[in-house]
Amino acid sequence: MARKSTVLLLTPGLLLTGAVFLSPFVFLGLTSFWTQRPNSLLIDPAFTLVNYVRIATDSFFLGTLFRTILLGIVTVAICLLLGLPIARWIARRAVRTRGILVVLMVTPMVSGALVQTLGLVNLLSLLGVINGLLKQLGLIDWSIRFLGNEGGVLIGLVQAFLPLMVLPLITTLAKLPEDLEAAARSLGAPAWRVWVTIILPLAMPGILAGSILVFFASVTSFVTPQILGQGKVQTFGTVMYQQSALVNDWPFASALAMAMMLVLGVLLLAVRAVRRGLERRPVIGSAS
Amino acid sequence: MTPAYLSITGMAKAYRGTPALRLVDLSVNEGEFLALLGPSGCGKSTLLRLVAGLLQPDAGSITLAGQSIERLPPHQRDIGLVFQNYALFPHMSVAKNVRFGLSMRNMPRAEADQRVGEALALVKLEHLAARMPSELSGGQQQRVALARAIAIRPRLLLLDEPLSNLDAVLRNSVRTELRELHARTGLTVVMVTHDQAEAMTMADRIAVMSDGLILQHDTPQVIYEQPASDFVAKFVGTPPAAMLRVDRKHDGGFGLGTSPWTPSPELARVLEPIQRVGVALGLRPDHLALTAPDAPHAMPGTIRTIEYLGAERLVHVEVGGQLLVLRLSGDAAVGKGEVGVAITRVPPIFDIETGLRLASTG
Repeated sequence: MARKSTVLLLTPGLLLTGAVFLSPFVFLGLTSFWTQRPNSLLIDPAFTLVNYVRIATDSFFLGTLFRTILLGIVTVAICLLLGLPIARWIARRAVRTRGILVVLMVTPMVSGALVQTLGLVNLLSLLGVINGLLKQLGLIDWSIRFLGNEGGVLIGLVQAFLPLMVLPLITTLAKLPEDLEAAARSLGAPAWRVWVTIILPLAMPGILAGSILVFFASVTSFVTPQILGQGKVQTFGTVMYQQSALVNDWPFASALAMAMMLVLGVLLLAVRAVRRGLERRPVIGSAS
Repeated sequence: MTPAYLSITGMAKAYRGTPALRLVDLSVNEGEFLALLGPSGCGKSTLLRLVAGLLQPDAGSITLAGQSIERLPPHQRDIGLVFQNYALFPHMSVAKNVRFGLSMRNMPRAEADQRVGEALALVKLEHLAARMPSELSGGQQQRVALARAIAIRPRLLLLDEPLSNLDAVLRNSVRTELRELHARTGLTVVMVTHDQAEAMTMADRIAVMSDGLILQHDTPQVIYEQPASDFVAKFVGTPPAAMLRVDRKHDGGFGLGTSPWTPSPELARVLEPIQRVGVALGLRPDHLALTAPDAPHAMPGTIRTIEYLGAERLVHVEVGGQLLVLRLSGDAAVGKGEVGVAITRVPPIFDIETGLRLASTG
């Protein structure tokens, strides 16, 4: 009885979810097994693995996949290095100040990737603000090329996704009693050992959450590598865009998307396993 | 005289312009148990954190065992610190918590194992070595914190409100245990507390603090019997001393409020030479006795409330607008109404304006 009504109540939501999310996904999956007819806008709906074989054997696509994941890992690493001290600093402010700082940090994210990235172009281009400043100060004679290479894309990714790392870190670090660090110091731990033995292990839930968010945002990003890479840095996002919008090979672009999702899904499961392992240790009780 | 084991001179600390410590000098002898006693916000915890190195002083110096330590970072001071909330590392077992300080000193495994065992034995927690802190009761957590601080064989052990997070029953037993621990280890201990009973029962000497200053630094007995100021008299003792204002009349006589009063010859001898318009008597139950309202030298009063405590009862009597507390045996018959209160011993006498005890008395 109760079951029946639950199903009934869920029906509109389930239908909407199915229509909006599930059906495009199924269609994407199906398309990836089809092929684009040469010199035609029509799709040949015959089941084939040809797209996947192409991805798995073409060194360009494998290289792109590898580069995308590597960029993601490096972005996570830099965001962690920058984010941990920032998050600890913010977590130590009074609750009110913390709220203001968090809002300031999130505001650029709300404005969208495009605006931020174009702002970075202004900063980083050959005649941009940073090169101009360095020349004014007499530090350089020739502009430094920030854009059109992986370094520029990395700067953009870190700038765009750092808040995704800092926010969960603030949440975990704010929960740590300040006396824990003081206790460790009084027991003879210099600052770096306090980080290694106390702060990092206890911040692990936040580190994992932030890393997952930044990694996924980074490997799936399109605007940042497209604009800051100036067409010279290929990532999965830009390649998918080329295949679908420029080459007009939707089936192959779909296969790329599916491959990407497969890789990310496997990674996510791996991270979840690690996290389960962490949670099994009786870590959670606080020092109350 | 050789300098004290722990010696603090000219210590001052302000937070954003608000002084927490004004100018503090303090010395602690080796093996002594000192209590820093004061109400919250008096600067006692600030002083403790300055000694531990968790705060930087604005001025002043600290020497420990002949070594100047105020510039040393906390991890080089070899000072054990037990926090009010224990601050156990939640991700480490009891044994790992206790071992932490030894690991930081890169002590060989076998030696560290032995030290951890000794420290846990000292607090009677060997059987819980493998537990996580979240699996322990408050009292057990505190003992782990103690063992952790003791394991490094500190030159000084600091206790920050060690009993305030424990329930009343546990508090009494921990009080005794801490004293025993102090006796067995011979450690020099500085304990911060706001509870005067804790300070009186546990400490060899007490430093009473208020508003960033040390008002009196002496043995519990001297602090109880010869308080340096009315603040100390009112803060220490159960029940605290009541202040009774005695005015000097133009004709040289004495008055309580508006009515004239003739003190006993003994008290008058002490009061006579004081050239003040008024003084305050710091009256504890030990100084007072009930008499008939018209007995000579008695102060007329009215009984307000009677607290029955079993072996004794505390009688609150209003005298000249001020409540005084007297102690009677539990079976003494006492009614309500008009009584006389006699001052049986000369109490400490304080200046009305400065609150300081007048040197000629007590």
